[in-house]
Order: sequence, then C-alpha cells, then structure tokens
Amino acid sequence: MINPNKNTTINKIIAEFETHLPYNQILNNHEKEQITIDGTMPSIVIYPTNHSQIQLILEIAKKNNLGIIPFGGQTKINLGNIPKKFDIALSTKHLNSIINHQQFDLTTTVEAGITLLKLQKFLEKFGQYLPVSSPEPEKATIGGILSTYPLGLNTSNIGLPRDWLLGIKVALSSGEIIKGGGQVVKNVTGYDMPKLFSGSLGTIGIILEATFKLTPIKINPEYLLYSYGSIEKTLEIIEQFKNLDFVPDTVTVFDSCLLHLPAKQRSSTPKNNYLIFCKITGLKNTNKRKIKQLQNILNQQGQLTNLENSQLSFIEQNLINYTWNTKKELIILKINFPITTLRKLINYSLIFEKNDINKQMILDPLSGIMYLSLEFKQNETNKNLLYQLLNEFRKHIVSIGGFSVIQSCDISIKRKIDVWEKSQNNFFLMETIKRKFDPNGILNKGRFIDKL
Amino acid sequence: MSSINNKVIHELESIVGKSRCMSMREDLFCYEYDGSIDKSLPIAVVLPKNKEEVANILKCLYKFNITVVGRGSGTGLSGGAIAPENSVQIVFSLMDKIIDIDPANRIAEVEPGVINSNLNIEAQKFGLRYAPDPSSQQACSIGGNIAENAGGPHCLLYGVTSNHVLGIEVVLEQGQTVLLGGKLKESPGYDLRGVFIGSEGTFGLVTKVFLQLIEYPESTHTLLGIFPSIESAGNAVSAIIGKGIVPAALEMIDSLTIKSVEKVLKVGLPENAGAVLIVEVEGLKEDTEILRKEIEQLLWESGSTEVLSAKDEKERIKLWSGRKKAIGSLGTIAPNYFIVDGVVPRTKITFLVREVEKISKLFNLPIANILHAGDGNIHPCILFDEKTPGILEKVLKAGSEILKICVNAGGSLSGEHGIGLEKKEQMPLLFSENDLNAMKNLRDVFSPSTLFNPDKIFPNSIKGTPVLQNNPLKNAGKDSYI
Repeated sequence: MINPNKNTTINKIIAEFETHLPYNQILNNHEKEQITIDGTMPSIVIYPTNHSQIQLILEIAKKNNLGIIPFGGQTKINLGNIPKKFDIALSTKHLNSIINHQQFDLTTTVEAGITLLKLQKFLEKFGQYLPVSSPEPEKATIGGILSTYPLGLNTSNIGLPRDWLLGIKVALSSGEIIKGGGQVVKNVTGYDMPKLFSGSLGTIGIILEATFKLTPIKINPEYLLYSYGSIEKTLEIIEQFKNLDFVPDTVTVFDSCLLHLPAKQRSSTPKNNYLIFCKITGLKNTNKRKIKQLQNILNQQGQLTNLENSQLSFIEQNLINYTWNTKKELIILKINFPITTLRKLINYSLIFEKNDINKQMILDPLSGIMYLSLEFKQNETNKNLLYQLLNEFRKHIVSIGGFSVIQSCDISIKRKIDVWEKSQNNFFLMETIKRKFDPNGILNKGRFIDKL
Repeated sequence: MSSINNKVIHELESIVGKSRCMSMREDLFCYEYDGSIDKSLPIAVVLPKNKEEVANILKCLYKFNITVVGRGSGTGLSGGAIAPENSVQIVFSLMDKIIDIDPANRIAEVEPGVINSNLNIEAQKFGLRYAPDPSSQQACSIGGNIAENAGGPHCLLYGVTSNHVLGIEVVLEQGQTVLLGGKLKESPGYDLRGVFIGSEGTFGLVTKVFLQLIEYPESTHTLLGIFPSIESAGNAVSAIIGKGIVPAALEMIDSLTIKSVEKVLKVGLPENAGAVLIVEVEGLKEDTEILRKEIEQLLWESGSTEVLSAKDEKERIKLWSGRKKAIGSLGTIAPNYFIVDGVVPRTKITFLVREVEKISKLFNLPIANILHAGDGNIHPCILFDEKTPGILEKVLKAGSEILKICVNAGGSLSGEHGIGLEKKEQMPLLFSENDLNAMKNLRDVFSPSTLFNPDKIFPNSIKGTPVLQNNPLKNAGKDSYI
C-alpha cells in the first residue's frame, strides 16, 4: 500500500522495487490487507518469493536508510514498542514450503512463512508434531513464532520453541545469508546461532528457514475441567499437584468468563469463578491412574463440569488465542515468575480489583507463567491510574524474581511505558549485538528491549 | 621467561597468593593437556576461589594483553582447555561449592568447579537429579559442561546442557560481571545465556550457574540386545524411533569394542557379536512395562540373537558397565586413542560405521565404535601407539576423513565434544565464510579483544583468527590419552 503522504524519495524507491520485483509482490493498493503497527502504515508492503529478493530488499533498504519490519501471519505483529522506523513491511508468507522431512530422524526443515497449522497437518500424517503453540495457528508462521516466542500453557513439560530448534538460515541486515546449527538432533559445531535469533523479534535478521526436531504425537488425550468458588481454594488445590506421581501435560487456571462455549452448551457454563483445566496423555492404563490421582485432588473443593472431551479439547487453543487479544481496551501482560511465589503474585494483582479495573487471569502454575488481561476505559483519568498501577505491579513482579512483557496494548499505553522489562546488567551486550548485526538500524528499530 | 611475564605472574600472585599461582615448569605439566591429544604449556596457572579474584585476574591479564584459557577438570575431548603459547590458565577446581539446592523450584545454584556427579549426589537427597550425564560425569565440571554444551547417553530424552541451564554469572575480559539468564526459563531480550553455552570458553569465564533439576522417574527399564551385525542393530534403532518411541538412552558398541570390553570386564557379552544395543526407558511403571515389551519385540524382529532385561538396579548397572567402561577397555588393544565425535542423521549410523571400517582399512588403523545411536552421535576411537613414527598425522587424517563423511551424510562435526583445536580446520566443511564471520561478530560482542581461548573453533584461514606460533597439536606426546 502506498502512503500518499510520503515524499517523492519514497516513490522513487518504490519504483526501484518495482523494476526488480513482479508487480503482484508489491502491495500498493488499499484493497489488499493493511499492515498497520501502532498507528503507523508502511510506505510499501512486499511479499518476496525467494531469498534473492529478500537480499535485494535489504540492500535497497540499507542504501536508502529505510526501516523494515518483517512479518508472517500478523498474529503477533503488535508485540513490541512503537516502531522508530517503518518504511517497508516485509512478509515471509510466500516462503512457505516444507524443505525436508526425515521421518525416522524426527526432524524437519521448513521455510519461515509456513503456518504452524499447515506444518502440523503435514506431520500428523507421520504421527509426529512440533511441540510449539501460537495463537491462530492457521495464520501464525514459523518465522513469526520463532521471532516472538509465544508460549503455550505447558512449557514446564514441552520446553520453549528454542528447545526444538536445531538449525536456522537468516538474512542479515547486510543482505548476507548465513546459517547456524544443523540438521541433526545433537550438534555443538560452532556457536549456537539459532539461539541468538530465537525470540529476537526480527531485530537482527530475517529468519528464512528453520530446522526442528520433532516428537511423536501424544496419544489418548483426556481433559478435566473443575470450577472453584474462590482463588484461595483454587490455590490450595494447585499446591497439592506437587504430590502427583506425574506432571500433567497441561494445568491451567483461568477465570470462568474466559470459557467461551458454543450457544448449545451455554447451560454447561460453570457457576463458579475459577476453573482448573488439566490435560493428560499417554497409554490408556497409565491415564487411568493419572485421572484417578487428579480427581482425588480436584474433587476436594471443586465441581466437575459436565463437558465432553471433544468440547474440552478446544479450551487450550482458545486460551492461547486470548493471550494475544488485541482489543484496544485490553492490556495483556505476560508474567514469568518463580513457581513458589504464586501466592504473592496473586496478592499483588489484587491492586487492580481494588481500583475497579477488570482483570482476567490465565495461569500456568507449573511453568510459572501468568497472563493477565486488564480492561480499561478510554479516558485519561482511567489510563493514568492504570499506568501507575501497572508500574507498581511490575515492580512487585521483579521483587519476587519474575519479569513481565506487555504482549498487547494500545499505542497510548505504549507511549508511556516500555513493553519489555528493564534489562539486567547485561544490556550493553544486547546493544552491541544489535549494533554488530544491524549496524544501520534498519530492522524493527525501536521495538525490542529498552527500545533497541 | 620474559620480563613482562614476570610482571604478570607477580601481579597474579598478589591477587591470589603464591600458593594458588603456579609458574614453575614442573607445576605446569599437569595442566598442559586435557582429554584430547593436544598439549601445550601455559605460562602460569591460577586457581581463584571467588568471582572477585576471577575479575581481578582478568583485569590484570587484559592490561598486559595476555590471553586466557579457562579450565574445569581437564576432561574435554577437543583441546578446549589447552593453553596456547603465552597464555594463562585459570583453573576452577577450587570454586566447587554447591551454593544452594532449592527443591521447591527445582533449582541448583553452583560454582563452576562442581563435579557433575557430585551435584547429583546432593540433588538426590531431595529426590532430584541433574539430567546431562556425560560419560566423564564423575570427573568433569559444570563449568566445562557449559563451555562445551555437554551431552551424555540420557540427553536423547532430556536434552543437552543448554536445556538445563537457567542462568550463568560470567566475568568478561575487562573484569565486568554479568548475569545471563537467571532463575527462570525465559529472560527478557536476546538469549545471551543460550549463545554463551557451547561457546567453548571464548566469550568469558563462568563463576556461578543456576541449573534446572528434574525428578527421578518412578520406573526405569534397561534392555540389552546382542546383534550379529551393525546393520541389524541399526535397524533396531530405526524401528524403535520409527515406532514413535523416544527412549531415555539408546547406545551401541561395535564388535571391536565388545571384544575389548570382554577382555577387561568379562560382563558376558559374546565375543563374536557384531554389535550390542542398550535401550533404557523411564517413566510411570505402567508405561515403562509396556514400552519394555514393545522394545524387546522390536529388538527380536530386527535380528537380535539375545535380549537381556535388567530386573533390578544391580543388573542395570551390570548391563550398562560394558558401555560405560568401553573407552577405558580400549587400552587392551592399543595404548593411545583418538576419539572422533561426528554426528549423522540417526538413520545413517549403519552407513557411517561401514564407512569407518573402510577408513580403518585404508589407513591400517584399528577403529572401535561407540555410538549414542539414538541421536546419531558416533565416537569412532582410532587406536594407535604413539611411539610409531609419523602415526599421529595418520590418525588425524583418518579422523578428518570420518568427519567429511559425516558432513556429506547431512551430519555435523561435533555432537558433544566441541570443535576446540582438533576440528577447527574442518569448520569450512560445514560453514561458509559468512557463517563463520557472523559467529566471529558474536564472539566480538562478548570479547572484543579475543582474550579468551583465542585459537579455538575458527580455522586459521578465516581473517582475524590468531595463528599460533607453536601449534599444540604438534606437541601431542606421551600423555595423549585419557
């Protein structure tokens, strides 16, 4: 899309792109999807189809000092501070093939633009899957997932996306293409470059390809959903999970208002305020023991909801989708915390309720991850109060050894607050990394930690 | 010794005291080698007791532009702890405290000199363990494990060191102390922790580590399958993985190794066997019992002539003994060995072993194979007698040929030992100049003066790699074995 207000220099640059790239790869009309980040539209949106085109785009951007924001399915594109430079939106969605799948090695190499759902559907045929989660897996791309690090609700069990990443191919801001890691499941050859680019928000390179190790699909999933009248009761139950003989695949605590059931099943909506959702998988005999043990704990003060397995199976993905909700009046905060500080964290979070700010919680107590959504009214008084409370709350999180990231919020909040946690005493290393790998500051400038 | 070196030693002595700063040749000999075949004397060895001393040592060495090599227990197998000429070695064996074990959060806070198995002994008191279990775990240190991103037989299920390190306190070249990561799995910003692990001591020195501990499994089953050939054992590996089973460990030894194990340990393996496969599964007892039966069936179907199953811990230890003591037993065949650490896709291990056989014949060198078969990590041990004139060059050439085959088969140069000195010239087999320059850029972030371990990882042909006047590989001598 062309922003008509941009000057003639930009138009010249667009013309330069148009001489090198097919017309249909350059988005230049309003009918096509709009890529707006924090109220800023790019001058040009480009959909390259191969690595050479990406190199060319990077070279032209470097020459003309243009800011590039790479993107995939736009499911997490709002993560980050307000961009300092946004001239080009570069989509990787046309780089979407499965390059290699080694069934008996349990590895796959894919292009960055492939969606998570497409990859999982392909792997399902072989009884395998990639254990990473994302909101809207039908849109979310592998490149976007690796860059933004969305977490599921079971990281204590499956680890982080970086734990499954074996190798990577990246276009640096210079246009050079480099690779790191490899295609085998165990490898210490050279520095662990895949770790450098994982979670780096596209600030030091554009991920082109990724190689992952895979795992066999978990069999016989079974679900339990119990409701509780108070957070105190819910926490008492959660504390007993340490006595289990096993670690459930998923344990999630959430506010019952986040349980969205189809109209036909609304009568099954629990009356209590808090829900504990558990998922287990495994051999049938083992599952019997797991279910029995879980029920012994969950039954104590809770009420089992009468939903079928098929209805419960959607809960996990629905909750993950909610953790990236981009409604203008919502702030979504992701909090990582030591698991033993859960009660303190819950107590600190009461400051929002005390000040009449609606909050909803999704909690993964075994991984030490909480998502908090805060609803605010669009008036200055309310916003200022929220801003103060948020700062206070984030300080509390740090005081218990945790940290937080604002995954989603309105630009008016971003103007006042850094969405990332203040870095530790290692920030000078991060600055140097940015300077070394993106010396001209053309990649996603201003959006990462401490506005790198 | 030059006058500048005298000044450096004098200053180092003032930091740690004379008893912990060694510079007499006879004191340095213990530190001139590690577990590889490389050898070189540092100008001094310093043993700090805390991070403040480490920082002061580094400030001193930075001032005099003296390069630094960190050393844990010296069990490394790629020459990572070998000091280039005119370097000082900082040895962490006195920083060996387990500072804290937090069972509720399952975190251990340790100093870098803690021995891997000592941590497990302490963690076991809380029903916990540290998963990475390199074969040298009774001697190797956590700091060394971090430098090399060490693996071990059970990393098939649990992952390598990087998967279990939450945070690292490190001292950089000008003495700045920084924390990379922390006590949580994630930390904000670039994954500095992740890139530091496996950087082979070229970024900085570790002074404290936060490790994730895991619980012991309810049940473990260990099976040992005896096979007439490498092919049939390789088929069993593919069958197990193909069936969707990921065991905790899947280890293999070949016929030459079996013979040497039997000669020394007499564990009851048939000397005419082509290969032995050890499979271990862990989990809830219902699961492991079913998996044990399935795996046993797959071992028979793949051509196993005998399948043994451990009934208790004593039997389990016996089944493992042949594998765990395999390297030590090779001394019955030849006094020295050179261990290769290539990786191939796990479906190609049979192919690789056959290629290794060809190399063995071509170079007229016996090669015994020990394999982490489940993850395609193969350790061909090239056996030789260092007294034979010219043998070392031949051994290195044979090792290099094996690595070429690994790379051509879609594999890699090192699965768990690191590149160090030994494999650095092979790096261009896998990485382009751009790839290596990006890695150098990353090293420059942490150590712009290349103060740490300057001659490791990067081939001499790459611009900016310091070229040693005295190549330690040429000095490999009578101690060129573990």
